[in-house]
Amino acid sequence: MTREDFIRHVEATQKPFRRFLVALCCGDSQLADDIAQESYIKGYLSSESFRDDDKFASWIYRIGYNTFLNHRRSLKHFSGYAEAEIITADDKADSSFRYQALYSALDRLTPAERTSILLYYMEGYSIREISGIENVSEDAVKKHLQRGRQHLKGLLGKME
Amino acid sequence: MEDEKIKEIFNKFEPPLSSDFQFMNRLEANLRSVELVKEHSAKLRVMNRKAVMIAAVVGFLCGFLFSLALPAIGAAMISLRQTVASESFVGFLTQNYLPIVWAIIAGVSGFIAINTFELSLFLLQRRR
Repeated sequence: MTREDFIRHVEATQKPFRRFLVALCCGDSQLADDIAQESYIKGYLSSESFRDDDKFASWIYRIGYNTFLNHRRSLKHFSGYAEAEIITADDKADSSFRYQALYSALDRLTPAERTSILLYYMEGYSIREISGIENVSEDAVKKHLQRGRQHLKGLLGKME
Repeated sequence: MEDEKIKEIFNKFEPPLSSDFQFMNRLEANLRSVELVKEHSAKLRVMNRKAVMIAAVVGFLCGFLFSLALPAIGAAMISLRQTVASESFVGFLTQNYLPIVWAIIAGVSGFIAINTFELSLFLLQRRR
């Protein structure tokens, strides 16, 4: 894949990818952008051996998910939504407040459950595709979705 | 039903993001840095290969030249054997000198090769 092809793929995927990462990071848009940057750089480093242009999006989501997990592991005290709340409080406060209930609900999920829910409902990926992105079995994805739906029930009640 | 409600929540989800222009500019700058590092690594690999080849040739030549001295060493050992007792340590050495001499030749050649590698790499990097 040439540099120009790679940039073209980035331009086509960056907005939904960053939107997904903001939800994954429970509202921390700065962290989401950092993870997005790191994911695309990692993708660029491996792009020479990447052949399947149609699967670029799912490939970058997989890198993004792994980068997010690595970031979580490297943080000693990750308070998830609480930290995001502090970071976003001064900046674009109205928008952060609007999605406060959603971020709070997402924060109750494990990273794997959160990723499965976001990829399924927000990005429209199939269970098979999600299992490829998360590198788990399809049964595991179904369990993540089931548990995620249960946790989100409370949110659905609030938003009605 | 529940599925539809969850989909609706995410369909309406439009978090504020930094501008696309800003994001792409930052990424392009990062990619340029990556390319610089890749270029530098590739040049280092070429220099390393050259230094290894130079060291290998020098090491081989040293081993070859020291080996040419073997007949002279052998003659010296024979004359020394005639003057010392065979039971003594020196006598033992004169009877089993060959593996010792080969080990010394290998060690010295290896030492010279390693130093040649370091020196070649230094000079190639300076020339760049």
